[in-house]
Amino acid sequence: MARTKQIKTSKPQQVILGIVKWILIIFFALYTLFPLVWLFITSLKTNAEYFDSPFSLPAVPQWQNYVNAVTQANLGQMIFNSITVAVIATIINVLVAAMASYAISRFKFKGREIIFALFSAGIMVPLNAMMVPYYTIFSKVGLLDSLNSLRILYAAIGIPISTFIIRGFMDSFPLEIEEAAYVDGCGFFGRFFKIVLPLTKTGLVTAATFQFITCWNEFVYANLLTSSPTKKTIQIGIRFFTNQFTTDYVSMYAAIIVAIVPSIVIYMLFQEQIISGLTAGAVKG
Amino acid sequence: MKVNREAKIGIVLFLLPAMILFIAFFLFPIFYVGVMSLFDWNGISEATFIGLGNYKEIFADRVFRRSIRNNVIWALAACFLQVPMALIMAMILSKKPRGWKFFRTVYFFPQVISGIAIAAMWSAVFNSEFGVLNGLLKLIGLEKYTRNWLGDPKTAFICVLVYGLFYIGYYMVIMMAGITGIDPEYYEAAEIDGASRIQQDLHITIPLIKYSIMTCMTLAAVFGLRTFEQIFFLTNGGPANRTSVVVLYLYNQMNNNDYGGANASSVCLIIVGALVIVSIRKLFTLKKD
Amino acid sequence: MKKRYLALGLAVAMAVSSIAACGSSGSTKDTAAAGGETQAAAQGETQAAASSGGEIELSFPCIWVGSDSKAAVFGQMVEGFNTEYAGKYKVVIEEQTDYDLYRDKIRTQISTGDAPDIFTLDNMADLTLFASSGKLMDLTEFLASDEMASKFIDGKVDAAKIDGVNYGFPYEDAVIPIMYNKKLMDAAGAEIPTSYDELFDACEKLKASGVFPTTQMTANNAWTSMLWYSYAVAACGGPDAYKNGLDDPAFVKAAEIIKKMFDYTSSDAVGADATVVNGHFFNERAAIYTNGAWILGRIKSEGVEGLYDNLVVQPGLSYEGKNGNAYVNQVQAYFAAAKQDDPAKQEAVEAFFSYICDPDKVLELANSSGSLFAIAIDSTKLENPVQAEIVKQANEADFMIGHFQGSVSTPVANAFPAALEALVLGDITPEEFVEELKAADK
Repeated sequence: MARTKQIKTSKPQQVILGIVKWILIIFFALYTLFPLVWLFITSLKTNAEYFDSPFSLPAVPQWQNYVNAVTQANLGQMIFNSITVAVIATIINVLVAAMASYAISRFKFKGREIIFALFSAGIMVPLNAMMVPYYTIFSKVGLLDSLNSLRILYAAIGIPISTFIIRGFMDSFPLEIEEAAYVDGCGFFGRFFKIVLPLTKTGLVTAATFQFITCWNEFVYANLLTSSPTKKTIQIGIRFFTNQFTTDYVSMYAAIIVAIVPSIVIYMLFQEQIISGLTAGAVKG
Repeated sequence: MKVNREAKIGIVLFLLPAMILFIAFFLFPIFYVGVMSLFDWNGISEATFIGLGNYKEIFADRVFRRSIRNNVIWALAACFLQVPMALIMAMILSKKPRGWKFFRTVYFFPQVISGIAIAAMWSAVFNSEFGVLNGLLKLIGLEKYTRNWLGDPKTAFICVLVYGLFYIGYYMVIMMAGITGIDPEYYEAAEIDGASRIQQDLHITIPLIKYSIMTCMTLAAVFGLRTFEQIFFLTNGGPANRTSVVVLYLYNQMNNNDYGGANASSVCLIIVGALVIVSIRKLFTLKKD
Repeated sequence: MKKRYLALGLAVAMAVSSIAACGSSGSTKDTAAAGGETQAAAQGETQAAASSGGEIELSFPCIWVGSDSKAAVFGQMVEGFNTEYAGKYKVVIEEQTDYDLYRDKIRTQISTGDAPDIFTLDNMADLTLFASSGKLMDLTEFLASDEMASKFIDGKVDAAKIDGVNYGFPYEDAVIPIMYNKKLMDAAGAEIPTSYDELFDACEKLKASGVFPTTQMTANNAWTSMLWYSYAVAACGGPDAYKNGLDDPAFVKAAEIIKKMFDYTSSDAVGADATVVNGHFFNERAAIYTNGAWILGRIKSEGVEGLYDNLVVQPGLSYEGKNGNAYVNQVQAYFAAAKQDDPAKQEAVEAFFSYICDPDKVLELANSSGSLFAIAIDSTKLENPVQAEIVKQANEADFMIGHFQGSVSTPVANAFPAALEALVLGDITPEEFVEELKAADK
């Protein structure tokens, strides 16, 4: 369809634009695919081959590296832990951030910009410098070596970014529909759940995507706050092959590939949600 | 929206959970870091109060000043190169060219791959002995430009900075979500008026996703100011501290058991970040009026 | 509004209380005693559990797991201990692989007064710092007992004393030879050198033959180049080079040597990490290399065919006719333990330490991993000929000397890589190089 339309209206200018467009699309695709392809090929090499040349192809694909990664590092359990941590932390985070964003975005009350500025400043906090205070908190409340500590911490550290993103989306859709609902007698909570949440679905999903990836990729606190082997998360699994003086690179890369799969699946699922958000957006008028 | 009694209760109830988490995990640590930045402290033994001594020390350190400069360049590059590229690609993919879902997924890959792996790959690309970059230059007869990219003070910072600028997935996702929310009627009307695709993008899309752009700009600035992993895994601040950034600087302070100094650096970072965030917001809301 | 003040007050209260807690981690007697009481109470509970059939559990975040070469045999040792003391003691290993993360965790735990029962550290500076918390077990008496004292190589335990007290003891003790690829040396017509002049002659020949004479790196802790610098310091300053701090002229002379060595290395040396350096030596692109004996296993498994058989290991080189035949060696792991108020728990820790220092078990560990230890073992029973040769040479060496990183303060060691880069890039002179290192030490 699109193609016939293009041919019909093709002027030299549009042809050039079309070419530029496809050059860009393909350039970025190759550029972003490059690391994944490299990683995959490298994960099939031997360490000796990797040391010899990082860009050669493996003589014989070493599928064994994947077996090593999954069995030795016990990745199955770790992936399961990571999923429960990331899912719960993401749900709490997005809900809490959406509620705060609603209050800040839709109502003019005293101190709202101060609260928002404070939240925003939180984005800048260098989290790795917070090991002593965070450890103290979880030690005091007796949550060390528990996945709940990670769920709470991850939900919390994502609050600034999620609030920032969700508020951006809430600000950008007009007040009129809400006001109409208000006139119809729809209260504070009703408006939030029935109107605002569905209409800002794209924003929520965007924030959830980033929050999930953040949870999935975090490792400093995953190591600091847990100690039992049954409480380890996937990022610790990736580092299973990194020791003080030696690193088994190829097994580590295999573990990284395994660890990527769930986040890509989640990303694709979430993005599908954004498409269906399109219809919601169209209705709102 | 009017703030009636119900809304008052609602606002408090809705802010409460976020506030509790924020106080416990941000306000308390920030306060703690702020207080401890006034002490000379090695993390273990008793701390001694030294007032602004730590601040004087870091501002006298040329590595800290260079780190700040690098962070500022990083933030500007992210805002004015990376975000615009992401915007262009978001507008292109939003028109749903063939395979757009595939591309939308592929562009996001670098976000989900562990930083160690990406850095290992780029370090191999820039390597002077077997790197792809030098290999390419040799292939096209530009041998005289080959060099040890990450070891050469002239090119190290540019290399570490630039490779990541093309990873636009993060910002593209935000802006595509913004574009999704635009009412198609706007475009239909413009189509009837005979506006070209580019005119539509300039006059409809960009103004309508202003808040998404602002979100991206702010995040880009902030991520630029607190960038760490990319540097840590690729050059670790080298050669001779030329690619150092503030978070790496404070990480090294912690490794030197200079917790007072690290806390002072953290405070500087938080203050600068807060100023940048508020300024960008002001800038975007001014335009509206 | 009220809520905001309340919240703020809460945060302040929390912060203040935690800062107060930090202050008390010093040596104020009252607080320490109070802490002791609560701990003793907790201990009492554990004891009660023990008497009702439970065992005493010891937490041990252990780095010899995963792909570490000591993982298999050390794991068996811990299992052996748990079997031998079944029902009485149990050491529970927490796997710690990434060393940076491990160090962060231990530091945070000690800082917050939550030290694990048993742990390892890789340098004296950290041991001294952690000991200042007052939270580490005094092992002096235990180590001085006949049973323990006889197990260690003479002088090793004393060298780990801080003001006459052993808060830890040395375990893994790296011996670091210089390694030559004989095949590449022969092909270039180069002799194995014994002095720096001969080394640079050999480097010229190797360069002419088209290989990298040495491998150098500056990324992370600049590990192998730091070792080369340590050998240069040993040659220029002799056994007491570190006694006078960085004022010894040996450090400047050694800087001149290391700068020159960068003329004889690969073009990617500045910014190179261990992967690059190992890649060059393992694949016969470079001829001369230095690293701890633990690397032998990997040279065997990951090096090109025949590399391992072509290896020649040698002690240090002489400078102006002096100080050749030195060996760099450094303790890579000290064991330490948290102070226990429960004597039964202290006994458990001591039983474990005694168990893992058993010479026969340590020999097995050495044979399986290529590493060497501060425990006196029968070196004739080392199965790996190159490893045995290293031990023999080290025993015959004129003197042993620590490496630079382990012999200076933490900030100086951390400043080394950037200063080395500046030196190699010509930003600074050897004198300024040493000045920059001194400046790091406040």
